[in-house]
Amino acid sequence: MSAFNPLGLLALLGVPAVLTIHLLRVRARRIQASTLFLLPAYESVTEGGRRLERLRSTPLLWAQLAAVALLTWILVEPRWLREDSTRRVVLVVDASASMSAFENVLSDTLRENVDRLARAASKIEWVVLASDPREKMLYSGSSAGEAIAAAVSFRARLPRHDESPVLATARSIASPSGLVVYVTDHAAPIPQGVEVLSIGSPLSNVGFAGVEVTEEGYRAIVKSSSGNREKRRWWIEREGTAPTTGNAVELEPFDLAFLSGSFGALEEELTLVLEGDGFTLDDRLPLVRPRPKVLRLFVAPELAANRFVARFIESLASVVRVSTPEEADLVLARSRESSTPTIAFAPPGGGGASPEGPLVSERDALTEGLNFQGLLALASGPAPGDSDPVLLWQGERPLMFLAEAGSESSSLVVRFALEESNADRVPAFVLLLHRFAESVRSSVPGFEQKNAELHQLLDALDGAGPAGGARAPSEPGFFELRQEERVLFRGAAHFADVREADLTRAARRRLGAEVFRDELRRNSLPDPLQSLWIVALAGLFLVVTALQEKPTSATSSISER
Amino acid sequence: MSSRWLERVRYAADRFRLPFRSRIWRGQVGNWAGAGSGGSIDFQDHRPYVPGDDPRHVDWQAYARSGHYVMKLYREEVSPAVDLVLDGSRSMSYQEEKKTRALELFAFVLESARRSQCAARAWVLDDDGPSPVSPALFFEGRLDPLSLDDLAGTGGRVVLDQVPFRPGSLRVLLTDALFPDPPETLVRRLASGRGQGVVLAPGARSESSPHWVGPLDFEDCESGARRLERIDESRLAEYGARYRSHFALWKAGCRRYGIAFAQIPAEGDLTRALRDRALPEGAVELCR
Repeated sequence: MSAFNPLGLLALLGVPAVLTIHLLRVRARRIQASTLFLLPAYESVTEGGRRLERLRSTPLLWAQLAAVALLTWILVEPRWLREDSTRRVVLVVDASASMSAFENVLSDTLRENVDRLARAASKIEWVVLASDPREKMLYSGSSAGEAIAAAVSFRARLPRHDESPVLATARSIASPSGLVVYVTDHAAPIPQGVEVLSIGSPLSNVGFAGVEVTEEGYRAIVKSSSGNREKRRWWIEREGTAPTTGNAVELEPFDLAFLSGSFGALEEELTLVLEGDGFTLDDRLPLVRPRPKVLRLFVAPELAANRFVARFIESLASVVRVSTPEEADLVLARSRESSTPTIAFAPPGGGGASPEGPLVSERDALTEGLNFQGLLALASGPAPGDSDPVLLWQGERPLMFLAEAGSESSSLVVRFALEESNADRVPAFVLLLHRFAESVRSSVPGFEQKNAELHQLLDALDGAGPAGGARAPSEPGFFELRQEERVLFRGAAHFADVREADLTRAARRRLGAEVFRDELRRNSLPDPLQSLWIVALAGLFLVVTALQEKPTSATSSISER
Repeated sequence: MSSRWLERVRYAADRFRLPFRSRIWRGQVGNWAGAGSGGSIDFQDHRPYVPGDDPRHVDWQAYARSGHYVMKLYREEVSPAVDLVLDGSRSMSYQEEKKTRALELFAFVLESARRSQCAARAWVLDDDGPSPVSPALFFEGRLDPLSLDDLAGTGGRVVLDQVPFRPGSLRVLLTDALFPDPPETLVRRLASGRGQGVVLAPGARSESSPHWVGPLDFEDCESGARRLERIDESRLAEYGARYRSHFALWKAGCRRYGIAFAQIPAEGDLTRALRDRALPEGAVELCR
């Protein structure tokens, strides 16, 4: 049996109230009498003003107690679970990093609500999902304890993200008769058909919100997500040395501060640490000295004197010039003469048609967001093959295309001469060259050292070798990517999501009582004698009223004799 | 004492008086039949003449028949003495209606005695004993015999031992009889010395038919003692039975000594109360 309206139990307060009324005689009416010697004295009689007397078993007392009990029974609305009642409850755990601040209350809160839900049906099938669409299903089964354990063991570290796809999936898993509960830490707008269980509470937080690192030093941003003035100690942890003595940073409400410093001469990594608070992810900022991957570059002799090419090479970081195309990762030449990825610029004096028609760029990662309007060039170089994707058109004539795209020898062919165009003054052209050079750099194997945000996709390795598609770890710290014994990548992951670090709007919200009531209503049957109890209660009220108002006239009087 | 109050008493006294006619009295010459022979015109008896008798009372017709001097005796006419005792216990005055009725009866007895040319004396009885009350002061409104300031109370008991009853007097006791002592001692004292007795007992309806229910904090009006009681129907019925038994005992005790006992309700008109209660019991009689 389950109580559909547990608040009805408050009616039981009527029991002590009734007993108190019957026990206390503080309201005994005072009467002056001349015939007390004619009134028989019973045990309860006192002569000293006692205000409590032994509880006497009277019909009125028992009628009132019965009325209270019956009223409680009716108000509680007892229901009996149907033995065939089965429900599916899908718990979607918010994967946002801010949830990590409330991991200590997640277990208790879930247990409290899950236990109540478990009492609302004979059998419940539990499904636990994370709001991270990349996560697999955390649990599916009939054990409430295991469902709670799966939800609690999940580590939420994602930046702010859209949870609606997972909630839609959960809704479909639950089916129309099921229940979806979104476990989060803030008062999220309630999606249709989803109940929200929020476990958060407003917290003051100060943490690292980002960093700019160069080979010489760093400049870290400390942000206060607090409505009050905050003061935090901070220090530096270096491998093999004791932490530096603490300094303090003071911040006005929602203010920023900057911490700057430099790496030691041979130092490759260090960690900035802030004094801990409720949200610990942003209290540590591990840093490595950035070491970009080296790009080996060969410049053909005919281009060596070109001013544009020289400036372009200077703008590329970590470039090493080599003397032969075979040693190079990237070749700058007038034409493609080797299997090495090449940027081929058309030689001058090739003639070519005058520019006609609009400049149109094809959709490609290299041209995304670039505007080539204003480019004046005469197309004269080799025409693209059928399988070569054109990057830029002028009218019907391709101006730039990729030769052997997708292969290790993919090259960028520029079909106009630099000397006969204004390309050096078109930013989109320069950016395109940079993108191609960096794509070549990312595709070649080599050591790289850089800083990344938590869970960041390591673009430099994307699609290249064994580390393709790798992401930075979900906890702050140093990490390496290896191929066999060779270290390909070394980095430091830090938390830098300002929105997740702001816990001032975290809120607590329990599952509404109507959720449990609805569940119970669906899976249980009401008391079939409810109407009878109501009639009986009305009868009891009449009995109580009659007993209270029963006339107490004397049996005789002077005038009657 | 207001004139209306006195008018009610006089109105009652116009219709009823103390039971003088139904008794044989001793006392000074008056209007009521005495126990001996006297100068009235009511024949009583014959006796042989003895020297010194008044020859005017020789029954000459009897002398003609018998040849002996026979004296004709006539009933003595006397004025009975009235001794009035008012119970000064607080139960007589703790209710205004009952106190008023007690004072009305007190005045009625004195007025009735005055009209019958009886020598009346009055006392108020409290713990200090009987205190004489001047009827003149009472009628002038200068004395309230039941004023609590003047009384020490009786502690709920009435003791007549110290009351100087006159021999052969009509003793009128005004008491509510609400004390637990049995009535025999008191009634015997009323009837002592060839006295005649009348007990008038004013009583309130709240005493005979109280509307008590639930928890009540009783205060005894005599002693001030407190009692907490829960009154229900059964206890109220038991109280009523004891009340009736108490006054039945009083009535029986008085009857045994030839004393009229009448309960006079405190509520309603005095004349009607006397007619309905005192007249049937012989405590008063109709005026002619």
